[in-house]
Amino acid sequence: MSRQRVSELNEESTKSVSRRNYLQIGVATAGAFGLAGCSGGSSGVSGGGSDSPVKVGVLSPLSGAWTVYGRAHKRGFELAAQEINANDGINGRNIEVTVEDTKTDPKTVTEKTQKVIRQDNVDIIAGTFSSASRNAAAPVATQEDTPLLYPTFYEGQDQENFPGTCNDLSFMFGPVPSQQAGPWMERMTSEHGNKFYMIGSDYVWPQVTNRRVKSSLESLGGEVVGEEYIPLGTSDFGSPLSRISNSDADIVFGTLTGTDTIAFAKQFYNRGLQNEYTYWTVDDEEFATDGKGPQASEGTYVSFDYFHTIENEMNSTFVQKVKDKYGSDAGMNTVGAAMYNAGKMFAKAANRIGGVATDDVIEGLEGLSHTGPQGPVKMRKKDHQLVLPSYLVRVNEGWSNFENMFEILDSKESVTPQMSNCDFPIGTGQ
Amino acid sequence: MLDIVAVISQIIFATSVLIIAALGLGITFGMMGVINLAHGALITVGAYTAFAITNAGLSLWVAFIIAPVVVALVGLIMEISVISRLYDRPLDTLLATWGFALVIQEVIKVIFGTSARSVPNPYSDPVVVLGSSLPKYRLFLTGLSIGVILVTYIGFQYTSFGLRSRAVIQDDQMANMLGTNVNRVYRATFMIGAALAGLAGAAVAPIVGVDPRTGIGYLVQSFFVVIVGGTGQLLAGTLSGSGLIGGSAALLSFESSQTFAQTIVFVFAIIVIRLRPQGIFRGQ
Repeated sequence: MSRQRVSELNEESTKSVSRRNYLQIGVATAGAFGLAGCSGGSSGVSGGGSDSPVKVGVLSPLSGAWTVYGRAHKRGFELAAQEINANDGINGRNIEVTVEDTKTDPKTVTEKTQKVIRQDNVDIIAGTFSSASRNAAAPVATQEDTPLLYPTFYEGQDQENFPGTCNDLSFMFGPVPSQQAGPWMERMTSEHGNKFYMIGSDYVWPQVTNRRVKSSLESLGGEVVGEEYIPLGTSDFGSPLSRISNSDADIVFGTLTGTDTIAFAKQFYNRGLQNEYTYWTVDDEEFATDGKGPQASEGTYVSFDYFHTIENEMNSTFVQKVKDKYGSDAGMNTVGAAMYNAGKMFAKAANRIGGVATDDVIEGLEGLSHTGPQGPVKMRKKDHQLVLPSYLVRVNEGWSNFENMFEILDSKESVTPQMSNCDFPIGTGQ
Repeated sequence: MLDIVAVISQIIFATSVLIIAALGLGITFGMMGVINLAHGALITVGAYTAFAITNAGLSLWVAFIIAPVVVALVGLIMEISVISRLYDRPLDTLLATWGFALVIQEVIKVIFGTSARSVPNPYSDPVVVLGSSLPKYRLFLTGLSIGVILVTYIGFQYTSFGLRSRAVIQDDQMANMLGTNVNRVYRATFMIGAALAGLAGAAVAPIVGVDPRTGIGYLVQSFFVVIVGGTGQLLAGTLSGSGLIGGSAALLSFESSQTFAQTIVFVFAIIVIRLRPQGIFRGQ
């Protein structure tokens, strides 16, 4: 039911509003309520003197349903800030980070976005985790003309979600389905079979991801033998598991998230299904896999742009820094690496242009190349989507820590994402 | 295409998990009238106890004994410090227990951190029954739920403590005059309710994982079970409430989406409460 609704929405022609138009609407609205002077004043202050710090608001899910992913999220940016300050800062100015807990709640995201912009006068915002929280932060950031650096693996940009996506103020540092699942479809179907059973949480990311994977699967001659969406916060997966074990699927493709993906994996194991089906998830990074434990996660396939275990010089230094700062058992994941890239690339961009005004940040980030812990990355100018590597891993048997959790099976050094479904132009900075 | 064994077993499994989860609330709320919003947090404490014990290399079965004890002690602290002062102001227990729920959740975060933890499943292979493979641990939980509800029922119905407990709950002044230590009986009864929540936490940990919010999902369902089944009806109420809430959700989710099934079950529950405000089994 809900799937249909999403695809219908997608087919609807969506109105095109540019950021500048939106900004004008916003200011006009604010003016009507007598607030224009107030918001104008605060953005004037954030221009800042040359020796005052550059301010960044970091919005992380530190409590609530998505806490599982939250800690690395915050740490990634903190590490970037620490390094930037140790290396002469941004145009000689230090970077000052204000971390706010979004409580995995869109309403709180809106409040915290307003707080960091109006009270702390931040120059940019980095973070938010889910698509819902990004879509809650974006209207505020847009109205206040503040850039938003978004780190999460997500469904991709679509004009219908403007200003949450397709916004020239937003930059996407996490992978989209064409980077995360796309590169491995051929390998997974030829090795494990081409009948997929799709199970995901009931919201936009799983639905859009499955739509993309389905079309790629069909072009490879495969088929989807089951597809279902489970409400967030479900703890009993009995009936979906019965349906899976009655299907002739080869691969169970998982987009469940949060604590649900943990409960699902435990009950999947409980029924002995891991011996009959290949389980491939595009959600369970280091911390979700940690929550599942070795028993319920062994043999599961996972694909992302980044893993703690990637072997390259950049990542060993990065992981070492994580451990030095947060303890020898600390781990990193895809959103942490993306937050780290966001911080480092922001500093690089601002240093190149020589300022942190909104237009400077946009101009500096567009087309910027960088080497992150996952390998070479590039911010595509046209739609502000990062070109990233992609990795396919399998969970090791009897793993005991983040170092021996995943075995890297294959990698692609650079995967160009599918072009976003936006009303261009977005990348207009010159 | 779905075999009948799968459907029936799933109905039984869903019902039995709810029986285990709701039984403690059936005592603290159903019998004593304490609107115990900390029930979910107590389940979480039980789950973390199971994590601490298995993480220390001990067997999960040890946790089935330790978790109820640990959570009973938490219940004791709650009872002595606050709940004991509120028996004649039941509505205020709502706020007080919610406060405890928040405190417990934060203390857990301080001790164990916010990330999800894992408790291993003691069984690895499923059992094949009539061509359907059934998870062993779920079968064990079914047995456990039957055992626990019978023991609890017999304890309250046929022992002298049970008699005194029911007497105190019915009319504490009269029980007091007849020589029963009212405070002590209230305290013990509340601790039993808490201990059962602890057992529930240890029991569900291997199938849902452990995080600071593990018990919250069971809190709402447990209240539905107790209210729909009928407060004060430990055996029949908990059984019928669990069957209606858990069983019908399981049955419906075979034929429709999980989202739809959950919605329908709550509509059911509202209709039952409208038609029989006293619950299915109240009023003899």
